[in-house]
Amino acid sequence: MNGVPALDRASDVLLAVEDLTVEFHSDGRWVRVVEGVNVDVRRGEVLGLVGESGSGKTVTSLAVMGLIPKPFGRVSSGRVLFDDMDLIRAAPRQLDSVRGRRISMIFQEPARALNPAFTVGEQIAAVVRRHTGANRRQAWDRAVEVLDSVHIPSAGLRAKDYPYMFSGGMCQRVMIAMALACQPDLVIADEPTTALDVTVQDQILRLLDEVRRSTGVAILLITHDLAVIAAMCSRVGVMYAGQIVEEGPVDELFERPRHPYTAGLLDSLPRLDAPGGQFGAIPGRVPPPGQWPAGCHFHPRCGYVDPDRCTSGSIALARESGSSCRCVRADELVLERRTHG
Amino acid sequence: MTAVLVRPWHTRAVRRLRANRGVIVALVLLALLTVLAIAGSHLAPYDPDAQNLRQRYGGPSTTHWLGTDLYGRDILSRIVVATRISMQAALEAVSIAALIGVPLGLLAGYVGRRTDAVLSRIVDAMLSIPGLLLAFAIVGVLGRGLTNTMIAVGVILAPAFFRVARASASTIRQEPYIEAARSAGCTRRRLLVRHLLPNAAAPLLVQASVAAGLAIVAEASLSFLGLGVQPPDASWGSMISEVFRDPNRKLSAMIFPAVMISLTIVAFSVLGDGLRDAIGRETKVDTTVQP
Amino acid sequence: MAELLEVIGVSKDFATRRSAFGRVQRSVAAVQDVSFTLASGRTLAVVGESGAGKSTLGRLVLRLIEPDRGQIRMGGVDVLALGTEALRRWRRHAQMVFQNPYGSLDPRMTIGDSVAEPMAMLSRITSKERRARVAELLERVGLDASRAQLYPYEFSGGQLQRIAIARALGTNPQLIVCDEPVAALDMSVRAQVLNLLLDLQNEREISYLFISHDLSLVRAFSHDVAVMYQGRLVEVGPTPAIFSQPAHPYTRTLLQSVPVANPRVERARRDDAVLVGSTQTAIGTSSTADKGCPFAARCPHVMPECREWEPVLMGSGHHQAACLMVLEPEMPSPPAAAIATARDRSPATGTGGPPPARRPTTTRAGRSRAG
Repeated sequence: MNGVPALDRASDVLLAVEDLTVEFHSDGRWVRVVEGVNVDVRRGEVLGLVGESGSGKTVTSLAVMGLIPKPFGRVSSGRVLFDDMDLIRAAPRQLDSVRGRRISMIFQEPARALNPAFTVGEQIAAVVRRHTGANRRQAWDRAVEVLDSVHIPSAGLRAKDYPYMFSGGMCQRVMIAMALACQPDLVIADEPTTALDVTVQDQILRLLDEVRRSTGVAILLITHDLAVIAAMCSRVGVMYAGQIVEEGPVDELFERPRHPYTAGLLDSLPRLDAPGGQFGAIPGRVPPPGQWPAGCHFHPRCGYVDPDRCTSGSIALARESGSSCRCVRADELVLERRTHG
Repeated sequence: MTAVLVRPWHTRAVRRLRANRGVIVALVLLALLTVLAIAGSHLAPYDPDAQNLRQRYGGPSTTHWLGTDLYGRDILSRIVVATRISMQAALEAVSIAALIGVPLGLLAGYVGRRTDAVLSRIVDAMLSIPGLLLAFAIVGVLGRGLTNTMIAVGVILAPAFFRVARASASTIRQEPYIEAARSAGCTRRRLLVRHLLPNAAAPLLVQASVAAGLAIVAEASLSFLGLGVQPPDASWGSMISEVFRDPNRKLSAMIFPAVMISLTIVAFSVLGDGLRDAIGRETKVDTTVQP
Repeated sequence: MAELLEVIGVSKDFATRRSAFGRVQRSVAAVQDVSFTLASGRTLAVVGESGAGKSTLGRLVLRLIEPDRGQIRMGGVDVLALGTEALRRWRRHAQMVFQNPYGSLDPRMTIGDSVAEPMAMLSRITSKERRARVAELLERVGLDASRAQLYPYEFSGGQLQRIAIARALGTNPQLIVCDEPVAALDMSVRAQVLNLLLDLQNEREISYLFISHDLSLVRAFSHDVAVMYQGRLVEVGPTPAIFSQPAHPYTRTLLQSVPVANPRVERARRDDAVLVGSTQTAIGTSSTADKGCPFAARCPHVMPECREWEPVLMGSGHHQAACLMVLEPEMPSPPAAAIATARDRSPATGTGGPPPARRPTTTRAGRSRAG
C-alpha cells in the first residue's frame, strides 16, 4: 500500500491502522477530519494517542470500532486490520463478533455511558451473554467476578445496584469491568480519566496498569494529558490537525522530540525549574477541520518553518524502525528539550 | 475536548426557515393578508356596506365573485375590509397577552421562590377557568365592542406567555453569562431586558405565532356570539353570525368567511411549527465535527 | 505589600431538602469556616477536588453568593455590610473570569458590548471613552480591535477567554477571581492565557484568587496555595513549602496522585507502595461529619483525637495546616515527600533513580516565582 514499508509486521501487532482517512459532512461538503493515520498497537502494550481538540484522535478510535455515525461521516480510505480482518469493510456480523468481544471501549464520562435503567450487574451480564452464549447464571457470575477484579468491594451485592449509586470513579471501574468481561485483546480507552478527580484518576490508572499486567490486554489510550501518557504508555502517537505528526517510544518522545509541535507541547507544560514562571506558548491556534493549511498543517505556528518545503504539497510521515515523524526538517533540527520535572 | 459553538439562534434559524416550504407558503399568505389589511378599503370592488335587497344571497358570479350576503352586500368586499379588523384584533390580543405575560414570566423565572410561587398560583387560577367564559366575564365588565373583547382575549392568552417566559428564564438564569453579567454590575432590570429577554425570545416567538391563530378564532367566536364586532362593521366571525341568524340563511354566504378564518389559523400554525423546528434545540451543539 | 483581602470564618450551607413551606430540613456545608488573606499583586491558588467548595468560595468572596457567616474585608471595606446598590458599585474593584469561555459571554451580544458592560454599569465614563477603552483592552489581550462587532461564536476558546479577561480589566479591579480559567482550553493555548495573566499582574498589581484542580499549573503560577477538602481549608502556605513539605495528609495524598509529564519519574512512582487512603471511599459520599476532621475516614495517620477535635489551622508562620500532626514533634515522613523530591530532579542529570522507599531527611526548597 502506497509506499508504507512493510515493517516488522510481526505476529505481535494486534491492530494495524493503515492510511486511515475519515470525512464528515458539513455545510454541504465532505470535510476531512482524520488524514492518513498509520498506527500499530502491539499485543500487551499501551499505546497512547495524544492530541488537542480537532486533532482527530477520538474520531480515529471511533473509526476503529466502526462507530462513525453513518449519515454524517464516512471512512473515505484506509484499512484497519485486526487479525487479518479489515474492520472498515467487514460485514456487520463479523464486526459484531469483534466489537465488544475482542476489542472493547471505555468512554470519557462513565456515568453517562451506563444505562441508568438497569443494574450494573445486568448490564455486564448482558454483554457476556451476547458475546459468549453463556446462560444467565454463568453471565451473572462472570459479572460479579469481573467487578471484583476491578476492586469494587462487596461485588456480589454491588452488582445489584444502579449506576446512580456509584461515584464517578466507581462508575469508571464498572465500565472497565464491562470492557474486560469478555476478555478482549484490546481495550480502547477514550479519555478515561478526564472527568475524574486527580486522586481518583490515579487509582483508575493504576487499575488499568494492573489489569494490563495480569491479563495481557493491550490498551489504546487516547488523551490530551501528557502526564497521563507519561504514566501509562510505552509508545506514543502525537496527533495534530487530523494527522499523526510523531510517534515513538515514550522516553524518546519526551526527552528528544523530533516534531516542533511535540516540542512545543512539552514546553507549554508548567516548567518547574524556570524562574519567573513564564509558560512556553505556541502562537496561533489549532486549525479546525476544513481549514487545514496547505503543506504541513502546523507550519503557520512553527518556529522552524522553511517556506520552500513546508508550505505546500503534502508532507509524508517518515517511518523508521520504531518511530516516525512528519516533518521535512526532522533530521536537521535539534529540538532542545528543556528540563521538566 | 469538544468545542461547543453557540451561535445566536437567528443565524441558523433563518436558513432553516427558508428551507421549509410550508413556512414560505404561510409567510406569503400572511403577507398578502397584511397587505389587504392595510390597503383593504381601496381594494374592495364595492362599498362593503352598500345593501341591495334585490340581490340577496346571490351565488358567485362575474359581477360578485364571491356572491352576496343576506342584505345583498358584496361578500368579497366585506371580506377584504374584515381582514383589517380581524388582523388588528389578533395583533391587539397577542400584544396584550405578551405585555402581561412576558415581563411577569421572566421575573418569576429569574427571581424564583416567593415571587414565582405567588405569580404562578395566580396564573394557575386563571387557567382553571375555561377561556371563553373568562372572556365573557371580562367583556361583561368592560362592555361590548371589539377593543374590549380583544383585551379579554389578551388576558386569557397571557398565561401561556407567562409559562413560556418563566421556563426560559429559569433555564437561562443558570447560564454562566448571567452570572458574569451580575459580576459586571448589572442591575436586575438590565439583566432581564438585555440578557434574559433576547435569549428567551425564540420560544416566545413561537408562542406568539400560536397565540395569533388562537386570537383569530377567539375573535371570530366572540363576534359570532355578538360580543365583539358590532354591526355594521364586519369581521369574519360576525359575517358568519349575521347569516347564521337569518332564518333564510344560505350556506354560500357563510363559506367564504369561514375559509378565511381557517386559512389564517393554518398559516399561523404552520409558521409556529416552522419556527419551532428552525429554532429548536440548536443553540448548543454544532453537529458537524467532534474531534 | 498590604493585605488587600481578608476573609474570616466564611461559611455557606446549601439546602438539600426543604419542607413544603420552604423551611430547610437538611443541608450540606459547601464552605465551612474558611479564613485567609491575600496581598496586593499576589496570587493565591485554591486547590481541591470536586466537592471541595473552591468555586463556591470564589463566589462568596465576590458576594455573588451570600455567605451565611463570616467577614470579608477588601481594601478596608466591609463587603458583607454593603447594601444592594453599594455592593453593585463595589464590584468594580473585584471581577471574575469564569471557567467556560463559551458560556460566559452572552451569545447575543457583540464582544465589544460584552467587554464594555462592566464599564457601562460601574464607571462614569462617556460612551466614546468606553469605546476607546474597549479597543485598547482588546489590543492589550492580543486581539484585533476591529473585531469588536463580532459575536462570540466566531472566536476560539482561547480568544474568548482573553476577551473575558479584557472584560474583567475594564474597571481596573484590584482583585480578579479566576475560576479554572484554562481548564477548558487546549494545552497549547493555555500557556498564552496564563502568560497574559502573569503579565497583567506584573503591570497592574492585580491580585488573583486562582481556583484550579490542576496542581502542576498551580505550582508554576501562584505565590501561595490553599488546599480545600470538603468545604474546609486544610492547609495554606507559600507554594514551594506546600509542594515540598506538605503537612496535611490530604495534601500529601493529592500530590502523590498527580501524574508528572516525565516517563521515568512515573515509572519510579508506579513501583512505589500503594497509596494512602482506601479506594472504597468516594469523595462526597461520606457525610460531612459534624465533628472531627473531615479526612479522618481516609487518613492513614488517623488517631482517636482526630474525630473529636474541631479542625483549625495550626502552625507558626505562613505555612499552616489543620491537622493534629502539626503538633507532633516526631511526624513520620510519608512517602509523598519522597515523590516530591524525585520530581524535583531533572531527568537529564541522571540522578533520578527510583526514590528511596524510606523517609528522606532532606527537604527540597522547591521552586518559587520571582517577585
